[in-house]
Amino acid sequence: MTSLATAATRLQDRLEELLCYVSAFAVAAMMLITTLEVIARAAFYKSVPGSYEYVSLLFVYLIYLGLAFSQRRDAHITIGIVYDRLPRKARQIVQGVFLAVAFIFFAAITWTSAVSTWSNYVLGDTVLGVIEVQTWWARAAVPVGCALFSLRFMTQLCCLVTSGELYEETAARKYVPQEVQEAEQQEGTS
Amino acid sequence: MSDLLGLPLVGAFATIMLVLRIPIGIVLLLAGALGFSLIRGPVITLDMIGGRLFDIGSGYALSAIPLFLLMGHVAAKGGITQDIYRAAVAWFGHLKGSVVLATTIAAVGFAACSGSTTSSTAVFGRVAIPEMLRLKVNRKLAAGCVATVGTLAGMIPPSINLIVFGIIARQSVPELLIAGIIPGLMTAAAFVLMIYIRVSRNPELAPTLPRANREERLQSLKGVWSFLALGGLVIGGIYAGIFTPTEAGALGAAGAFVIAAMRRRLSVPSIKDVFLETAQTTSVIFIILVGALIFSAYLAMSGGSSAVSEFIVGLDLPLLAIVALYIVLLLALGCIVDPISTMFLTVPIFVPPLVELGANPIWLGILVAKTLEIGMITPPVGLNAFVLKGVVPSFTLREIFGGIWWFLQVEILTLVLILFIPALATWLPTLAFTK
Repeated sequence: MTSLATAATRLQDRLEELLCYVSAFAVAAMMLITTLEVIARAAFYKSVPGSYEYVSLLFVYLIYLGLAFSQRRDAHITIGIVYDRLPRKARQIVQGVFLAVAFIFFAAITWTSAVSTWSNYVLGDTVLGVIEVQTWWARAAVPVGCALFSLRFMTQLCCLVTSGELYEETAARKYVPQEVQEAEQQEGTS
Repeated sequence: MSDLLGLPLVGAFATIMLVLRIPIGIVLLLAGALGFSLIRGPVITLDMIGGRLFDIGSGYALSAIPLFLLMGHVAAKGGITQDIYRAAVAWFGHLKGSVVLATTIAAVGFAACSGSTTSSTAVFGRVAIPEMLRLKVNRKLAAGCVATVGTLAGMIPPSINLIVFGIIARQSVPELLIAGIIPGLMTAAAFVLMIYIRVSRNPELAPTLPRANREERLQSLKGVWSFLALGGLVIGGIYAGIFTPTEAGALGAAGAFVIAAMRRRLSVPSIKDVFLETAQTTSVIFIILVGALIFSAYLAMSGGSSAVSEFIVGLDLPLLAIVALYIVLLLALGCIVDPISTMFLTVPIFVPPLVELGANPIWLGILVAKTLEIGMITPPVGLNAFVLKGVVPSFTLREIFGGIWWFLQVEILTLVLILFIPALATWLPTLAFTK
């Protein structure tokens, strides 16, 4: 059972990283398409067909596909004015409730955005510019990104329940350099 | 009117979640969802949000932001910060204020390549702080300088905050970006003056360096001219109306790649890092933006936005007094919430009635960006202080905020100047865009 859980967690990690690479590819494509558009306009007085539409649609990948990866690394912006002063037990309870609510909420959003994507695919939704561009492939980024985001909350909740470790502690242990951790500890004790 | 009854509940729910270390974007999303559920029920709310997430994310104008972030990341990874810093030290290190002064001037150069205040603070924390500490610069002055001068990137184009303001307030983004030039340079000049006066009075704060000879100075420019030309191209292209901000961002990023590659400053792993960093930063910024859009849509639907707008228009106060009150509110919010959320929560409510009362929207945009810059360095949640602390762990937060104090006074002084002299913000865009 433990090895199965480890394998599942590893798969989840790889999937999050893969999606982050896809969104990194999206920003590279946005840069190249727009640069080509400017060069084509300046040199040949012509536009790259669909450049505006593709850049707008690729942007969706960039927003949603990196959400879970950022949550894993505790990179989202937070304010801990009250939380940081709570006793550890209270922090665990607050975080447990939050992770459960976030899991349910994003699971629900995954479902409704997937339904919306599917219906747009069936209807053949397009954006009309110089050329017609289908939108379903960009819309799909929303449920995919939200699904992994939701799963990350679930994994963090399981970790909290089984080991009592808060997710910011896990992220600090895995991703924050040792010297930063030591300095923070020193400041905490001084 | 009955829809307004849920507002206190939603507001309390959001505030409690916010101080409990729940990510700001998720707080806004959940609070907006709760508010909509009170009006329309949970099923319709979830359907609406699921459908809207795509529409929010597929905006062409907003796509300028990741491209400018990419440009900044390439410039930082490509060693531009070190180059600009070395050049500034060579040219200004012998003056009173030495490396502190040079860091401020270098931050202006870097701000033209990066629109993000936090990344500007992070790179100068890595580059300038070790040098300052080696030269025995006063620790508070060093920390205050780096934490504050990073905020210049929030005003000097390409400022991400000004792009976001333009999109929310439906104002011309190119005009706003150009409007940021004079206030940004003015703030930098005021910092330089303050550092010069302080160090003149107490030379122990920052030991002066020996004057670099002419050859060393010219040599130092070798590494920076191409990046500064690129920054000039981006700003000039927007100023001349040749590029949209998105195109300027793409050209800037592509140009930065070409320059860094020609100098063999980028390896394959660092190129990968640059794209991944951009992807991660974008998702962190935009989950806030998505949440704030859902929350402000709820505010509009509940009637809360229009009630506040009507209240403002009905106030029997001069325009300047109402704008000053708005700034005070922004300062208060800016102390605890990040700039993008603050803009999404307040701009749709306050800016339209202020424009209706006769305020220039470009001037308002600059005032908002300037005030939010100040929020980045004020406790308890001055984000730049925490970024610097992350980069230089040996600094205590007390040292950083203590060092910021002098710079904060200068920031407030320049804010007041822009408040009373709107031409500081409006003159350049009028010159550029009025045909």
